[in-house]
Amino acid sequence: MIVVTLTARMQRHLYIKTGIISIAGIFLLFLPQIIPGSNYFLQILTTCFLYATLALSWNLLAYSGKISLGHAAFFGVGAYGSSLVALNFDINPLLSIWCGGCFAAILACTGGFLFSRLKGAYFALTTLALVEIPKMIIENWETLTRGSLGLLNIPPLRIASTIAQSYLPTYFINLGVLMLVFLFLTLIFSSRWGWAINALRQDEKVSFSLGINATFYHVTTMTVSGFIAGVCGAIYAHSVGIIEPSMVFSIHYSALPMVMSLFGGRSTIVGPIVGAFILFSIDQLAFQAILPIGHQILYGLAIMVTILYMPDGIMGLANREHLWHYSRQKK
Amino acid sequence: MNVAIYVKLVISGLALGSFYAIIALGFSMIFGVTRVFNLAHGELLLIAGYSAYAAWKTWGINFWLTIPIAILVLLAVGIVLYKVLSSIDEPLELNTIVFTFGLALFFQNLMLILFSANYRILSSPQWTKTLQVFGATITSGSLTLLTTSLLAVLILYFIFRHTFWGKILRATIQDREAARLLGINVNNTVILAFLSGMALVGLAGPFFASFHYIYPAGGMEATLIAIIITIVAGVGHVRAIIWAGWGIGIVENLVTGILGAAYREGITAIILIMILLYKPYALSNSQ
Repeated sequence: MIVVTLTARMQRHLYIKTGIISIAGIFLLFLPQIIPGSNYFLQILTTCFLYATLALSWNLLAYSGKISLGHAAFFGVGAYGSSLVALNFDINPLLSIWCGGCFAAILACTGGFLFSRLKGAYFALTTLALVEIPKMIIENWETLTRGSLGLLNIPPLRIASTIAQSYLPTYFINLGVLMLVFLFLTLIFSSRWGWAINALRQDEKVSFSLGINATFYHVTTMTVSGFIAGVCGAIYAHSVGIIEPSMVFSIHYSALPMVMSLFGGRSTIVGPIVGAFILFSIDQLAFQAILPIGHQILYGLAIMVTILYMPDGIMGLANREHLWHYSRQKK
Repeated sequence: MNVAIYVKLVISGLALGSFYAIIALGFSMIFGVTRVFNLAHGELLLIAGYSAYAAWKTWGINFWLTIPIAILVLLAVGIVLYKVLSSIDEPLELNTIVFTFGLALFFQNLMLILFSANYRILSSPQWTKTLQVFGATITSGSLTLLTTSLLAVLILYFIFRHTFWGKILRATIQDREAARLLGINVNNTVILAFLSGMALVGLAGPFFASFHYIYPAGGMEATLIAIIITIVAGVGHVRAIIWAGWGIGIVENLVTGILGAAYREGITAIILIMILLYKPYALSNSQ
């Protein structure tokens, strides 16, 4: 039995990081009381929380060494799963979003099991193709999903004491889910499981020889990642109210988490959150105004610039010390 | 359904397949010499298609004249792209696949800005004439597509197999270091092959715009098909590529004819996943 212990320095670093994030979280929790007037600003933050969570789920998979180009599959399955459960069984959306996550987790688990022996670019290709399969099923199962017409009147998320038509419930739920996922991942990365997937990323063969069961860890990582992405999709569906297959399965939702993680810095745990906040703010505040259609060109540019000039992202520029080390060996 | 419909589906499948073969040849040449998994391949095809469309729309020129324009545009894009791609760090396969995914997104939005999301088609009156083969009606369009693609593939096959440059190219694809040891100027060969790949896409673009409705997000399927064919056929195997292209074209047409168009993309994706699961390291080492 290997017992993983953190060095004192890592432990201190972890405490400081968690502390800062918790303070930021509490601040954000009371932000709507401080600035009640600025609706638009809070709406942007609401979406930032959602995308940050999505980016964290992508980054979890990247932490185990697998690049996904198909998180839209989990996002879309989560959105449809949750909406269908809420519409057909009249369940409170607060509960049904977790059902959506479970549907996505089932897909992710199956995919993870089937694709576990694929590496690098080949895994990325399969995930890219994976998006089309649930999309095809949903588009053609018209009695259940109304096909490409999409679902209407999806019940919005509500918390007991807030007004129904406000964006505030979504604000708090998104913030809550983000904090939950962040704390969960912080705990996980310093656990035995986290060290195992870290080892798998750095060198799969050496990890085998240390007795790490690669298939088990890949499947569980992918399942957790799919679950989180599915919950994000479900929240999205309930906050928008209308979904259709080409919308929730669009390449956009595969690209966003990847761009945000890479740009923020996939080698740190805060990176994806920072990336989501910076990129989405730039998108909404600057690009949206200049280019009403095609403003997502920003995300394409961000991927290219990141790969070419700063492989460790913004956080990598900020502190080179605390990076998780990505092995840079050839094959 | 009677036999005539199947004959029609198979023949238009052959036409579609030869067209796919050209796209896949372009992909395979670019991949073969640079080891770049170009996920923006379909978007490059769309750029060629859109530039042909723009030329046709603004100057009202003949369909055949749009082909050199599309090729020139893609060569210009290719030179820039080659410069950028050659500066990407290790691990190459993973970084380029992420990079070209970003590039695909960039191109999609660029085309969205320039041409809006409307469906466009470069309509050419000569394609609608029909003729009868075994009781099935074939449009002259699919016949033109078939002959042009076959001609292009034959010329390439000749270049690959029977000229000195083809030999150099195959050597470079198989083993770059060994080719360099034999005194081949690898850099020039790589650039030339990359640009030939781009020119092939440029050739395919106007046909794409003329037989399909093009729209900015419509490139990903072509990319997936090019990848499928390249994996099945192997890099730089011209004959195998045309067989694989025909196979995919016929399967797609039969699926569309029997199940309906809604299943086409999904089936393409399933084929890709099956092939990757069956041949997981198909392209990882030199052929």
